[in-house]
Amino acid sequence: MKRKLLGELLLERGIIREEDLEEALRFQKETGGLLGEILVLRGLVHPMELYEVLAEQGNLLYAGRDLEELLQSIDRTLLERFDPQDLLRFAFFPRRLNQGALEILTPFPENPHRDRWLEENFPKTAIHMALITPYELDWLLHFFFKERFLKEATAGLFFRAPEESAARVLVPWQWGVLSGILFALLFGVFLAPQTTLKVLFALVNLAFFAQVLFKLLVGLAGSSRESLAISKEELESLDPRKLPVYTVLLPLHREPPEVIEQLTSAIRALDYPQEKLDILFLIEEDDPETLRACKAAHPPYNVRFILIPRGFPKTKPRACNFGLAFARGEYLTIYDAEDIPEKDQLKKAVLAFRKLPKEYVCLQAALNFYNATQNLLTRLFTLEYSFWFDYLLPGLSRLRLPIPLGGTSNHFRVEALRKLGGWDPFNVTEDADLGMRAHYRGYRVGILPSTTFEEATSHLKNWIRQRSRWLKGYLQTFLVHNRRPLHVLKTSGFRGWLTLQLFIGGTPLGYAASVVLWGVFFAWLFSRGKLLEPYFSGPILCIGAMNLFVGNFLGVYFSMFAVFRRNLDHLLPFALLNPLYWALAGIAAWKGIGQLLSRPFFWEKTVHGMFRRKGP
Amino acid sequence: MKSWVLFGILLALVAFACAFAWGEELRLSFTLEECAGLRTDAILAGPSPSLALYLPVFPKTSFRESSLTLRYAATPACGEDSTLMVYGEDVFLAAFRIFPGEHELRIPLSSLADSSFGDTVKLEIRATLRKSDNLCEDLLAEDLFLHIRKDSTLNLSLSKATWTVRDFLRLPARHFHLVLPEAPWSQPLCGAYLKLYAFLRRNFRGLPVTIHTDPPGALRRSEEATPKERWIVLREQALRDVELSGNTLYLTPRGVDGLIAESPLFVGQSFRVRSVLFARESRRTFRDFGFRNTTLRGIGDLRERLYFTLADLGGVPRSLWLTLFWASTPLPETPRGEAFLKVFLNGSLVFVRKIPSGARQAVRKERIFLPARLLGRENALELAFSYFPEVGNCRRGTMPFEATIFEDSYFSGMLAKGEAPLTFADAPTLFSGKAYVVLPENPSLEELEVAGRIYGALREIDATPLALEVLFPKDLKAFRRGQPTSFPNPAVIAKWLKTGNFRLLFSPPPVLPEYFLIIGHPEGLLPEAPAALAGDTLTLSHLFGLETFALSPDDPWSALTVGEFSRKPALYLFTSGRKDLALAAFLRHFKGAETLRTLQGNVALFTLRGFGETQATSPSSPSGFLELLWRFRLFILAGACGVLGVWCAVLYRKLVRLRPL
Repeated sequence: MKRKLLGELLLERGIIREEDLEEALRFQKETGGLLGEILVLRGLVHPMELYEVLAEQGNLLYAGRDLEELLQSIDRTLLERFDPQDLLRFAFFPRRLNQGALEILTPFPENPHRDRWLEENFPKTAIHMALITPYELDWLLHFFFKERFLKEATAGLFFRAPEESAARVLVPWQWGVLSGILFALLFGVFLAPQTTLKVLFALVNLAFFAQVLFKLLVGLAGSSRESLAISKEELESLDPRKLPVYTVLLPLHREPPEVIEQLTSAIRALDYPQEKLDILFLIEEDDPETLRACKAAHPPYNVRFILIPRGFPKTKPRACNFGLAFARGEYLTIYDAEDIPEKDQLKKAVLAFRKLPKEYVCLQAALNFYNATQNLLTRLFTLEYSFWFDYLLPGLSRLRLPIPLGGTSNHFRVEALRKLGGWDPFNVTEDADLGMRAHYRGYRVGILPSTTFEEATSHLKNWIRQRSRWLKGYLQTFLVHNRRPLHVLKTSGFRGWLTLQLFIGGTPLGYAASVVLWGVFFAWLFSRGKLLEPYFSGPILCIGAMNLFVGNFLGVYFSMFAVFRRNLDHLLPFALLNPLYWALAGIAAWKGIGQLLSRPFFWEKTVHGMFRRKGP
Repeated sequence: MKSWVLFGILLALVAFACAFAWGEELRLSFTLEECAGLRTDAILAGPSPSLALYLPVFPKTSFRESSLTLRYAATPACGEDSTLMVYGEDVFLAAFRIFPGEHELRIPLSSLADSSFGDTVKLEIRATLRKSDNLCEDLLAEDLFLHIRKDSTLNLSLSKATWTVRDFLRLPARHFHLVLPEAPWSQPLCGAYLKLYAFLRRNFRGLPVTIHTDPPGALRRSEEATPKERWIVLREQALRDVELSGNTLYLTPRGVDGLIAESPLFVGQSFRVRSVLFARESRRTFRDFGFRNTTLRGIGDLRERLYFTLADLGGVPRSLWLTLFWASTPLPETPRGEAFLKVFLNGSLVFVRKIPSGARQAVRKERIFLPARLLGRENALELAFSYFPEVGNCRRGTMPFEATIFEDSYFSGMLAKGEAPLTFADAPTLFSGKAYVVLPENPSLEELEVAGRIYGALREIDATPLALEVLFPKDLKAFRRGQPTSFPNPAVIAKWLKTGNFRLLFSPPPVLPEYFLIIGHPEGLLPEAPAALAGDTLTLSHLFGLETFALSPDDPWSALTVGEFSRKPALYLFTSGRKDLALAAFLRHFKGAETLRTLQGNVALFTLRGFGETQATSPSSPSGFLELLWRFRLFILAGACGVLGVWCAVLYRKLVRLRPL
């Protein structure tokens, strides 16, 4: 008996109309997606209705009607024989063994990869299938393997590569060195205060100048033309049918409803076949408000809600690791709730990955702000971000140096991301850490010529909270990757090691030092030099003066040439206030240092939604 | 007849002109004590001893008319072959046989007539004393020596008419009279007097010179002055800052500064001084201490001494190193004889090196550590080359050893901060640099002289700059508010900057440390000293307002005490009772540097009958917090280490130890 087509069955049942079917079929022709998925994504068919029809079409049983009963029927002992990653990879769930036959639940009855795998692992065993929707599969996996996913998300990196995990802030020898330095300083201050302060002042100034100079050189390297350009023609030549599934992770935590709404619109606006988008909303278990807001926004059916179980540490990377377990795509990216990426960003990423060698496992898009002119703080923030993402990161890439990833819009090859161990849940700048780790393991990170716009924090306290977390995370990254300096030297050479010291360590420590140096300057100024004369004279005063003038000049200069690429000329005059901005960053740096010692894993949540935007 | 008269007049005129040109001849005799500072008879001991004396020289000295009368006393052990040779600037002057007993030799200096000299002529007396034919026995003999008497005289023939100011200061004198103008005196004049007093004390250090401070009327006596008396008259202002008239030198305060700064340049009789700056580095090289390249010759212990003060080095060193440049004649290839370089610091052996043998000897450089604990305020560095020829070679004619010590040798090291409480032993080390002398409003002659005596005592011991500023009590308030430390005049710096070739350097200008000398008891002044004046009572040990000892002598008295003022070292002088008698008591017993050297403790009390000193506890200063901090710093350090240790342990628990995942 000839099998009836899905569309016919749906028409017969009166679930869809003719014109709906025609449109869906036309779309299917363009994108090559599954008809059922297209219909669900367009909201024309409820997933349960679809799977009932599919069950009828394939002469199978739809087992998702009664989840309670389904749960009862699952043999928990059988589950121990399966790795949940395999279940996710092959999209099935083992139900029970029944008279020598293995019963499985799956949304995709025809899956040769799965069948082959089952044959290898359960030879000479009959396989009986029942249908469930993809959401029910996720739900079952979450229900039964939550703890394992959680353990992997939290401790996976630590158990596999403890030397790369920030679960331990300092290793014993680092603690020994730090204690030694503190004691030496204490003795020095008491027994030879002038000499100690002179040496300290000289070292701080030299280090400060070195990191400023490093940023200048990298910025200059990044000012030359982009090496990876993607033309409009290349984009248009992409065949949607050959586009891979793309997972988008969206970690959400206490987000206001308007942010969720904006997010949902942004997802819909993405120029990528919706049925090839695998969107995961990662919501903390103890955040029912966000869950409610997400449901109320009626996101499309390619959005799955993944509830992150309670646990320690409660951080974004832990949530992302948990979500990574459920990712189905070949590629993956992360966005924040308030992000508005350029519509063609995903296509650009696919093209870029195809162009670049396999060693490129990650691409970082530029970040900038849609509320740049909201107030002075956002203006200065925009200048900084522009320099960072338009000059510094491309400079690092050009010089083949390790790149600390930005907070969002990092695009990964999923397989490589899993090999890297995902994100470090104990690092509050897990993105920066991941970029460094990838480099030191021999992978490369590239720059994607695309921009994601997000909301710049416009309130000072909020800004300091956010910045203190970033700088704390940089210090964590600095400490983690300095555990094996020889390894770093071996894998990435002296320049890679230097990047770790001057860029990763130098950024927070430079900001912290700048506050102290400004304090010294003002003390010198108001005491007419009398107060500090015994301590700072001659060459030491020269070094300090050099930093004061040259260092700050360079900071202003960086801000100034950041405006050119994005035609932000109206922000140029604000570049002169860069020293003030650095002073704020200095305050945040000290806060970060304090938190590193007292609450290293505490995630300072940045409040979003303070700016209402009408469109990019 | 008329032509004879004319001829006679002309002859008289010529004679007068010649007499004027030739100048008035003056014959002076100075003992070696007066002109060379030989305080006691010089002892020449051993087989080949020598004595070098540096005698002052004047441009118009007629060496043909001058001579040296040398008095000596030799022991009976000196044999027939003993001789004495005298050299002037290495020019042979005379040789004599030495006879046991007291004898007098007249040594003409005519051989020096055609030589040219600097300020001094080096007179070297080399003796060869023989007891036997055995050199080694002679070396060990204890009775082989002779005395050169300190009252041996240098007889000079000088031309007085062409004296310059420089000559005025250099010619040996017994008495200096400083004449002040009518009171009241301005601050610059008081300062000039004090500096001049100290300058003279230093200039004639070690010589039996007395300085008198006289009122204006005393100038009349200058006409009756002997050649060994000098008169210096201070005046507030004049057309000429420095003016010499006969035996009297007239100086304004600026003239005093100029003279102190560059006295060798005053080769004339009157001058105007435009500007004077004080900018002098601490002394470091042997040359700075007056030492010249010196060659020692002979056999046995060949010694040379260098005297230096801590003040000249800049303060109390935490570590002191001597870099010594020296060279010597090589020892025989078969070194049976031995030679050592030995360095003694204040009598303690601190360094020994065996002089290597070898054909070729270049200038050597030794870096020698001088232990700070052996240092005092005045120090003697003795460099000795001990050369003993090979055993058995005691015959006459053995090649003597020669070694040269170079004037480029220098001291280096790091200075330590002075620690309270201060005592008299810290003078002048911590009382060098710029002095602020606080005098009473309208000071009396005695008060001025007392201040001069104290300041002169400090500066006589060392050679640090005579930088001084006189303050009256009304100036103290402004001072407490904070004045810049010693600095060249900004106007002068601005002027320098305008000149074309001036280069701006980053090295900081020399900054002199500061200290106080406070005479009297200015109203409202709270002395930070172990002793204080309450009415007529001397109270000691004001510990947190508690006095532990109080004394009220019936006689007028003065008390000199060491303390601090405005966190700088300070010397206080209080008086009680009739001020003139109290000050006279001080002047009677406090002679100058020799008295300062002997003072112990930090409080000295003077009455007309005598003086005594004690060590009293220093009070806690108003800014006692920092001092407490410094005093208990080791305890505080221990506490801080404990706190840091605990913090590090907590950090370990929190950040290093793993928590269960």
